[in-house]
Amino acid sequence: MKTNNNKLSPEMVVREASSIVMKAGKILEDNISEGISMAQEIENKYFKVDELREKEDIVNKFRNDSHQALDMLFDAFSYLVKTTNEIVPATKGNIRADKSKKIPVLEPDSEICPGNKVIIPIILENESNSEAMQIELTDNGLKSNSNEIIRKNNLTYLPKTLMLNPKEKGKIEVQVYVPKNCKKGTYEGIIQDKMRTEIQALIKINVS
Amino acid sequence: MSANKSPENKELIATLRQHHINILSEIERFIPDKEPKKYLYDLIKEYPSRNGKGFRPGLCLIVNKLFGGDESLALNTATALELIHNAFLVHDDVEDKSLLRRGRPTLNSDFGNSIAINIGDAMNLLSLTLLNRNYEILEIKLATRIFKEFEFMITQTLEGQAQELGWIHEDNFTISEEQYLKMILQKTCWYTTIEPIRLGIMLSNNSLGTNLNDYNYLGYYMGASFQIQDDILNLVGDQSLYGKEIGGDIIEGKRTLILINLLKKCTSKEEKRIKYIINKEKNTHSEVKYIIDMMEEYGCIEYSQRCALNLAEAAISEFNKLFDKFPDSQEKRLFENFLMYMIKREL
Repeated sequence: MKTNNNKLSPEMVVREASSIVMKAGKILEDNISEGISMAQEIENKYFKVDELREKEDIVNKFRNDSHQALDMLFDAFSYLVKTTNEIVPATKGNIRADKSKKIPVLEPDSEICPGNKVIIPIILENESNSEAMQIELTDNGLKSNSNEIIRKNNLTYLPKTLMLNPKEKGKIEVQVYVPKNCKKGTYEGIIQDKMRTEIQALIKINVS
Repeated sequence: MSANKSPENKELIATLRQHHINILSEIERFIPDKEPKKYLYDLIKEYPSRNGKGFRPGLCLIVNKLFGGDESLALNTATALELIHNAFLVHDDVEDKSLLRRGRPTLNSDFGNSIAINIGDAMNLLSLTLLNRNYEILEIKLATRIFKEFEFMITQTLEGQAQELGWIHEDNFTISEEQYLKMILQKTCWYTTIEPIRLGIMLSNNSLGTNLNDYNYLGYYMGASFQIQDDILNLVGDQSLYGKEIGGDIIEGKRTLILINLLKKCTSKEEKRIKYIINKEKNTHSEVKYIIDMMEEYGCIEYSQRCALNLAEAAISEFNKLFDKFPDSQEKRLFENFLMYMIKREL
């Protein structure tokens, strides 16, 4: 026979149920990360990514074919933004931004230990003669080949919003915190402007 | 006041009804006028009109208009969405051996599994026809993006369904809340709420500056709240309003949040009896009632209602965050009312 001790009080029900939204949020994050990785895998499965990024005619062919999974990474930098290198005092090496690629790959030369942070500066320039531009970067976290994740809340942007007048340059620091329990591997993820998704870069960090 | 009868909801219901009429007309346009009619084309035409509310295409069209879209361009995609949804329902009823849907006998109940499965397949094919038609009315790139969205959405739904069916097939009762939330995200939320919102925005004139992923949380919280309430209604709702047999989820062995919560709280002896009942091929009325009574007694239904409410509040918070800067308009009010209507289901 059941006793009243088994029935939760209203306060206990409220407390017990309050975590459901947080659980749901994490699940959606993982689901979206898997979706983006799936799109990247489709691209890698069908095409040699580095060759395509160097061969204009092949890239144009894919634009005509309009595979959305490829568009995610191959959208033209038609918008008037470019990126450059900068040496970061916080790390031992340089940040490499390969300008020959359609999408800059931003990768510190040295490995990052779990529990540490790496700062990746991005210099942005508004090449427009007349239009001001607001940049606010976003991401879906970083993921390794073995499906380990650095969640998006470990990436922060300073400043959060950058305003560039015509012909003006500005800097955004992408700070990536590598959690203490992060497994060894190479983690990648796309960062992009919230409004103009063609403004993209690939962040790549090696965790030791 | 009942959720249905307020002035705001009268406007919403009228809008959804009009959208549904337009969708049904579109479906009829694309059904070939040839044999076999009795066991194929007439049923494809008739089934979507069976008391469905057209939530999913309605949501897509309401969002599309809010973002400045042209309904004549969005209608085709919204219709494809409705066909996919009806195909899922038909196949779902076969998989679950359901007898009632929308207050009427299911297709498998009336005509048998074989004909029902074939109807579901035909609806899927017709949705492909409509997605292909997008290449005639939209830019190529947009038409292809929509195709990829449907591909992703359907993959998620199939994976979620496979997961749920797998649990039942393996007699797996050790399911966590996280696993349940993931399953409903994939099986229900992507095609019920998340994707209709994404598609509505993509098809609008205002989509260029918008990050679609910003709207995923809103869709997920709406859909999750809706699903949990659906699970509750299945146990304690009014069959004439709900449209399906009460206690059907217990008979089918569905792993709902309420059941997961019950198995966490009950004694080992009770757990053994619950599992025995659920694993049985057929259940008596008193066996189903036993489980529902236990769910009430252990506060599982109350807990699930609270979870649904928390998720609904999260959806409202996301809505306010995303649309705070949108000017007041009929379209914005309609979307807001849609959200409230969906998450305040009749209990």
